[in-house]
Amino acid sequence: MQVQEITGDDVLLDVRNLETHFFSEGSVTRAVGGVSFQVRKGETLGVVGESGCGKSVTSLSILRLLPKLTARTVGGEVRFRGRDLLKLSEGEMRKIRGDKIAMIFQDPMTSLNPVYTVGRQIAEAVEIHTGASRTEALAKAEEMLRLVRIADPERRVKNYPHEMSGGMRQRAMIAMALACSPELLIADEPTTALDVTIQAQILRLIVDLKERTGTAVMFITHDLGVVAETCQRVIVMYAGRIVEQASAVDLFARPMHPYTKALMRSVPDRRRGKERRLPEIPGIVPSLREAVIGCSFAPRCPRATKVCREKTPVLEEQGQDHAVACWHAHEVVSA
Amino acid sequence: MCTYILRRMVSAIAVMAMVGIFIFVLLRLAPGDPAAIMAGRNATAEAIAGIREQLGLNEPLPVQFMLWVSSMLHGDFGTSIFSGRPVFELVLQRLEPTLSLSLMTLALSVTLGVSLGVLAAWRAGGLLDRTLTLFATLGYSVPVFVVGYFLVYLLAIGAGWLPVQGYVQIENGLGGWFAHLVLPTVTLSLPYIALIARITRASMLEVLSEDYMRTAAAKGASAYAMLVHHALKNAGVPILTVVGLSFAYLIGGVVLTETVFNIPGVGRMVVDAVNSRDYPIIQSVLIMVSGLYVLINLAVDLAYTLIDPRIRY
Amino acid sequence: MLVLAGGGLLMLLVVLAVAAPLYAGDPEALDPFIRLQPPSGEHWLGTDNLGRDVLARTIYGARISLIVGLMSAFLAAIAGLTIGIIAGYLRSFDNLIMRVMDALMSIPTFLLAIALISLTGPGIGILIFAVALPETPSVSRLVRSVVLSVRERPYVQAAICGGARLPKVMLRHILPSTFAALMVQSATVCASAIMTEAGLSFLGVGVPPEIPSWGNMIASSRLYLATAPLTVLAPGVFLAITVLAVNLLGDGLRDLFDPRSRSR
Repeated sequence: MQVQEITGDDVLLDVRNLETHFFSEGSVTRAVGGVSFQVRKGETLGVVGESGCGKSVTSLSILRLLPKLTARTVGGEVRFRGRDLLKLSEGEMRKIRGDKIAMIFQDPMTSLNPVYTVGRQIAEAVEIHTGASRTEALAKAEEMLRLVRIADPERRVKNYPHEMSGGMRQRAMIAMALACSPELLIADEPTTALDVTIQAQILRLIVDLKERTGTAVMFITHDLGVVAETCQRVIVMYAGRIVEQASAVDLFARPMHPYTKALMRSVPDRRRGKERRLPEIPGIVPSLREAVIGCSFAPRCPRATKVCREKTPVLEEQGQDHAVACWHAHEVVSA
Repeated sequence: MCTYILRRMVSAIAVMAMVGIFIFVLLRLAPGDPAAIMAGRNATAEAIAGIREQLGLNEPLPVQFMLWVSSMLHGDFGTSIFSGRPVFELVLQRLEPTLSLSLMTLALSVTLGVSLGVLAAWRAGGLLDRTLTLFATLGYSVPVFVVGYFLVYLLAIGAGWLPVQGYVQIENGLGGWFAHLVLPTVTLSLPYIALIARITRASMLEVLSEDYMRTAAAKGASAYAMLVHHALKNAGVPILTVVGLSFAYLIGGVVLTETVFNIPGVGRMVVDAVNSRDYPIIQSVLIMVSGLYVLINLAVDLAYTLIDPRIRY
Repeated sequence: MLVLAGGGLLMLLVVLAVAAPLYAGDPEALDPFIRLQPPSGEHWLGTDNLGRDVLARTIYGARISLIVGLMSAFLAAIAGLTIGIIAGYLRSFDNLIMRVMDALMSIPTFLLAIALISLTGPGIGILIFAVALPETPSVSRLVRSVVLSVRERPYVQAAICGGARLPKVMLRHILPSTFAALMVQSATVCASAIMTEAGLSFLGVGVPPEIPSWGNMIASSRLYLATAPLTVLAPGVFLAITVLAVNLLGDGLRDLFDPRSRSR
């Protein structure tokens, strides 16, 4: 056994060997290639990696929100409170979405429906899952807007998205996600599209609301700085796989994967607000279309040796709750 | 909001004026003398000159135009040569069948076209979608009168289910009215169903890939709520635009359909007017329908504000 | 794929129509003794109410449809191209020209054609004009939008700054860019022109009644639909196939020039 299984009541989400493929014009892309991790009740798990590493696809696979025609989860389990979400009917899945597991997306400018008021869009989630009347749901929406600290919620509830700023819209998105008190909140780059000052506010809001509601959060980001501020545990993804998994404290103190180290050296410039490639790491993220032999990071890795190019490293426990998939993990630590 | 409405109305009036000038110039410059046409083949030169005088055709063109416009503004759309009655009155008499046919066609094509387009977009690439695309291409490739005679031959003459032709007024029985309108409505609707289904599908496909659709799914919204509440309203503006614009083509279809099914409507009246050389009827119906078209598209422009709260300029 | 299907079908129709005198019988030959005959070895599609061969008349009818369709599309394309380029280039005229085009679009095509032809009397020339005129605005709008976007492109700006004269710039840069869109639009215009011609002829305001056109044939045979359905349905089917071929060609061209539209 390589990775210590966390078992027992405190596991909320247990993802095992998740595999999601994209299909286009006869070619198959392994966007997520066998990913396993757990989210415990009330914790914040950070999922870090460059764009294209499969972190967003992982989160969409959990909620089964992938584009139907082009993507499919082909293997693995997504156990939420012991039930495999991948085996549920579409109707049962709808009862989970927005109620037990909610999601916030990257771009608040495009994630709200432009033709309905913000209040109505928050109320919709409440109506679907609690069977509340429109009036009750709208009252709840107003309460939620107050909770996410939007000034003048009585008025804002009647606003259309285009009448709000980006930061306010993201607050509204958070209000919508939390309206039914979910047990797990998946936040997919919730601050990336926002101004730096707003980013910090939204981040604080999420942390704060998490403390108050006890919701577990899966925080997807390319920004290790954000992880440091918000997460208890972190998984680092590269090319559709988890390359390192540790507590946040441990990860920053003792990064074991060369990729994690490289990421830390190039914490993105927050002011640019955009995800960017890592110029310090030579090479590019490999195309996931080709079957990878050996470690997928090897072509960019300064430490790559013969074994890296021939055998794929698996995630191995390297200490208390710290696992890494690298043939040279110990050299990295000592370096 | 008010500025938007005002601007739309001003531009509608401008277009209407332009339409008037256009029709006037075109018909006056076209070779052919309305007076000679009205007088008939064997008319004497004096008779033609008399009609010219009566119609004011001897006045300079700008004067003629002003006279024409001012009489229209007073509700005078000319007098039929053949019956000697005001054209406006004749149109009103023929309005019921035409209105029945147009409204039933509109209702059928919008409901069916939008539903089929939504379903096709929902299951894009599927069997239904491909069947529908094929049907849509066929639908706007077959002229209405060809469809009409096919349907008459199969369902009226062959199967005997429906009347071959004619029209029954509403006051003479709803059943007869409806039965006589079924085939004409289906005939006239086919190209519009195809057109509306096609634009609905394209518009829906665009909307379905929007981020807010994913948000709606993440909320746990049902497929129906996603398609109808979230997507269709956003896809509504292009659909509405096409419905408004296609009115111009609907008119041509109405004329043909009324002829195929021998329905005594406005379209039939125009065709009869061509045969009886009743020129004022043709000219007046042309300007009236053009005006109606401008009004309908003004209404469509104003309806945008109901669908999309962002339109406020 | 669509281009091949539509184009092939259209070519076949053109060849059939052009070569009609070589193989089809006389479309005008009357024989009162064989009125409204069902199909036979001699008359494959039967005869009409004057004993004329339906197949021969249908084949000759293709000539009218194709001539009117292609000529109208050509005329509308030339007129639309000219107006569109003028509007896109001479910005001072742009607003006026486009408002006139808006007005023209507001006049129902079919009624306008009826009004024009009722003034001048039926004839192929006026028919082509009446069909092409209402189609011109959509072409000119399209051309104008392409011109407006092309003239902002760096290489066109560079050519203008470099002192190239406007007509030269247009020939070199604008025309090639508008070509693709113009072809697609022309196919649409052609299909709609063929339908309009058939409709006008059907109403008796199209080509003169003595010329065999599909619209005329359907109009003169409509009373015999019950007894000799082929006299109406044969020209109807040919008409539909012709329009379908042109539409398929147009769809195919659009996919070819703009691959992104394929999924739409």
